[in-house]
Amino acid sequence: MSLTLAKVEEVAPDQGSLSAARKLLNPRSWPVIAGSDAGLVWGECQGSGSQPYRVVISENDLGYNCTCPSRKFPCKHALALMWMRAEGRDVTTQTPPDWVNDWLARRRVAGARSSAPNKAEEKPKASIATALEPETAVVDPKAQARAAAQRERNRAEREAAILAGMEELDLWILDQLERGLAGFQSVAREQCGLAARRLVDAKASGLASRIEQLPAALFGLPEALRTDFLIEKLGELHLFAEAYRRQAELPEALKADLRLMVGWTMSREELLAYPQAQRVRDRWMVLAATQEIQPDKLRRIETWLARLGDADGARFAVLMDFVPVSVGAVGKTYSAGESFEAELLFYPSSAPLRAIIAQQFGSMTKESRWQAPPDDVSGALDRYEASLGARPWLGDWPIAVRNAVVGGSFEELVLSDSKTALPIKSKEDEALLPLIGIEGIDAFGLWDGRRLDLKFAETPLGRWLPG
Amino acid sequence: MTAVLDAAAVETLTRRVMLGTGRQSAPVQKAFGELIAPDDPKAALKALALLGQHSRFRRPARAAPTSAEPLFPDERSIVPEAARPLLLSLLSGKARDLMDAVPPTGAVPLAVADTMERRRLRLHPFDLPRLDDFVKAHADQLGASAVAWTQRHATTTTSVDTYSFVETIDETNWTHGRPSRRAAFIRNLRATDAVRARALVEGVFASEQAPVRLVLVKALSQNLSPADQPFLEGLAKDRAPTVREAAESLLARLPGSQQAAKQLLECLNRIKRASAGVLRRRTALQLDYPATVKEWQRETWAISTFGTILLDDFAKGLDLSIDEVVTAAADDQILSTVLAVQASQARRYDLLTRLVRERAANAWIAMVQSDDVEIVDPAAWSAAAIQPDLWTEMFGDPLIRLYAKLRMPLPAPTAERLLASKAWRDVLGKAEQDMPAPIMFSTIVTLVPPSLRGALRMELAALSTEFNVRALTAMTLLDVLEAA
Repeated sequence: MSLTLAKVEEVAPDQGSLSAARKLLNPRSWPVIAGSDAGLVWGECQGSGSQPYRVVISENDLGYNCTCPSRKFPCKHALALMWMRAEGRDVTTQTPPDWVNDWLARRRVAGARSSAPNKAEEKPKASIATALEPETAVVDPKAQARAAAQRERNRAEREAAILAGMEELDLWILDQLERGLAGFQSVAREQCGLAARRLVDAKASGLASRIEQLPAALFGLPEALRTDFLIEKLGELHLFAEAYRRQAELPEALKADLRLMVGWTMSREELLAYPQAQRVRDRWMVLAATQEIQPDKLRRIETWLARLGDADGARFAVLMDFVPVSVGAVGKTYSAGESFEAELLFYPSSAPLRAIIAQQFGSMTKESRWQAPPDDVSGALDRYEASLGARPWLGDWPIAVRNAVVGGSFEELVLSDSKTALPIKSKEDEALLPLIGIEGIDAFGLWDGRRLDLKFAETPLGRWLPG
Repeated sequence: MTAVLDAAAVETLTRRVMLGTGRQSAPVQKAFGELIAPDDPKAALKALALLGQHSRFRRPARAAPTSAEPLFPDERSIVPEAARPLLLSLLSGKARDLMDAVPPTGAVPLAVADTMERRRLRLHPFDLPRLDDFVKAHADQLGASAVAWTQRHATTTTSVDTYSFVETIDETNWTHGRPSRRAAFIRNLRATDAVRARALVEGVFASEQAPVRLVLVKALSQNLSPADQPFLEGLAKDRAPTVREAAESLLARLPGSQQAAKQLLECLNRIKRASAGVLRRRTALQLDYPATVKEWQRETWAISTFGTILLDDFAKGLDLSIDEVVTAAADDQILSTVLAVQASQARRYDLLTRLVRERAANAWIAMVQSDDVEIVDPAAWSAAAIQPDLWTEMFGDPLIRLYAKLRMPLPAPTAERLLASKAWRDVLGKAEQDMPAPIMFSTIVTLVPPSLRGALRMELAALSTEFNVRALTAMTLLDVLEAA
């Protein structure tokens, strides 16, 4: 995909980075600039240090790397290089230097990796480089066995701790029930903080995080919805506890999902090696890219994807990345409206949604139009309920509706067809207002069971995105 | 389960859970029957979980609205699709700074708004939130949808003044329009039928609020005549001081009025007459400033005090012909500028040209910066007042104000002289070392007529991106809007 200034604005983490990048557009700041046919552009930018910073960008997927110590991503040097390319500045075509190839080899995007020469294949059988490579460590079977046993002991200890934590969680919920949930709001922060700390001690960090986020979610709701919300959330916590105790009786996918929710992790490598993980290769379109800062000081970046072509039915996926807040602002890698062909690998779940890109094929392109699967509002709710039945702790769930209209009052907007209406989270987003009254909308949003967070819409007036 | 958990059971369970099961135990058996064992120590927890799941399957009870009307209706055409990214790039929050930081009241936003009004275009509804600052600043020119957007909160409050947007304003609907459009209507009508325009204003004046009365009085400044005197004198008792001041200022411009005579006398008292020259003695005029006026305030003070005095009255008061006054003021730069302002007000463009070329090359700056100076015929005024070949440098902020005063590009011959001027060539040639503000280049775009944009584009293309990107984008945007 060719770079545009609009795209550069999107990936920029903040205004300061753009302004700083603008000052680097002068060719004199770049003693070296070159590119390859594979969409790579690299250069050396003279900064304040003695050595110039080495900057490389991939025009195909907007990957970038820079040797500067900036804590903004992308930094001003990568932005400046993108900006120059967006303006069509020519670069001489060259073979990528080693430092560019090294970066490519380390990248996770498989599509981009394929453009880098395979070092192993290119290397001659005997060379100084090979001699300089560290020798393979000698394997000590006893040490390995000791390590495996230690891992198993740790695992068993953690299982026991979590089970104990679940018992404490039940007691905590019972306490709240005995006192009555009507008074819970006044002590929600204190009580949830207490329960979260206990669950952290019990090594159930996933559940701890859910409880920690509960007060914010509760107070973000209108008063009238809070009773049901509390009952649902506290009931769901018991559901987790009970399901964890009886996980042996659960179907494999639900069990794996449960363990992930409770706090067990599955690395990318483990997921790639997980035999039951669902793989779906198709063309995927980005419908939304969101960022949220979690209480654990991690920025959660979600990229919501829809499979293009609904021959096999509607299919959505979400890519999740976590970046420490301390590294500063992060620009968008994906923008709504872009699409790419990829094989997605879904985390095990009875309602699979979270995925990683196992392999990307080709570069990203812009889609001029997206058509929602042929569901009306009722049909979309049917799908939601089917997923909720399969996964009782279902969170925000993607909903797509064809041929809908946004209506209602300024304070309470709804997305509706001729029969059913879904309340929209609208108060904080005035960008929704111009949608009112436009008929024939293909809409996509995240449904939390009460309100729809509208994220994307194709309308007769063109594409709508949140402000 | 629905058969077991009926509405009454849900209601009872929910109430108990909210009030606390410590007081009264939850009726689990009644709600769930054998689904939960009576002796289960976690019966309450299980009931809570099932109640929660039951709630999650409950569909929202919202009826589909019977009809949904667009919130921001507008009969104008939406800007071409190609213009949308350019508009966002130039005028929206984050993107605006990609180019350079310009407030939405700069020359480019004004030129864009003017072009959209001329072409009867409106913004894409989805861009209204993103261009909020621009819309707020120029809603009157951007159509009904933009006005509705700025008044979107007024639906729930009654304290905000709401005026409907009138696309084609005339005598039948002018009272419903927004204040600035009403003032523009009166100003235009004054040019053709001054009496009728005043009569319309008089008819509604008493019922208007002070800010509206003020703009309507100011709109009467066109084609002032003694016939306006009774109405203006009647405003001496207006409730609002701003309206009284505006009326007084207009009276001061009426020949024969008391205020005009008073102001002329004050002015003449501030003129020092002397003789100059060795071989041929001639009269020399010089302004005598009050002690409270600092040196840097002198020009502004002189223009605001004497700029509205009629040129003929001024000359007569000095017992000189207009030519003699111009010659006699030659040694006083500020007095020459005041004379240029008076010539401009009197539409004596031949005299204005002479004053600018001989004495006051930068008089236009004072004129565009003064709220009291009105430019009735922008093309003729520009041809006389704008003489770029005399400029020693390009003036960034005054150029923005120049566009704001003209609300149109310079006439082609004037713009050609501007592009050929030494001041402009210097800016282009030394951009890399002098680092002028990029806004200079985008402002020039607004002042150059479409016929010269090609030449300007070629010149700007030679500059580096940091200087030209905004100007080139603005030029493309104006081209797209004008072609729509």
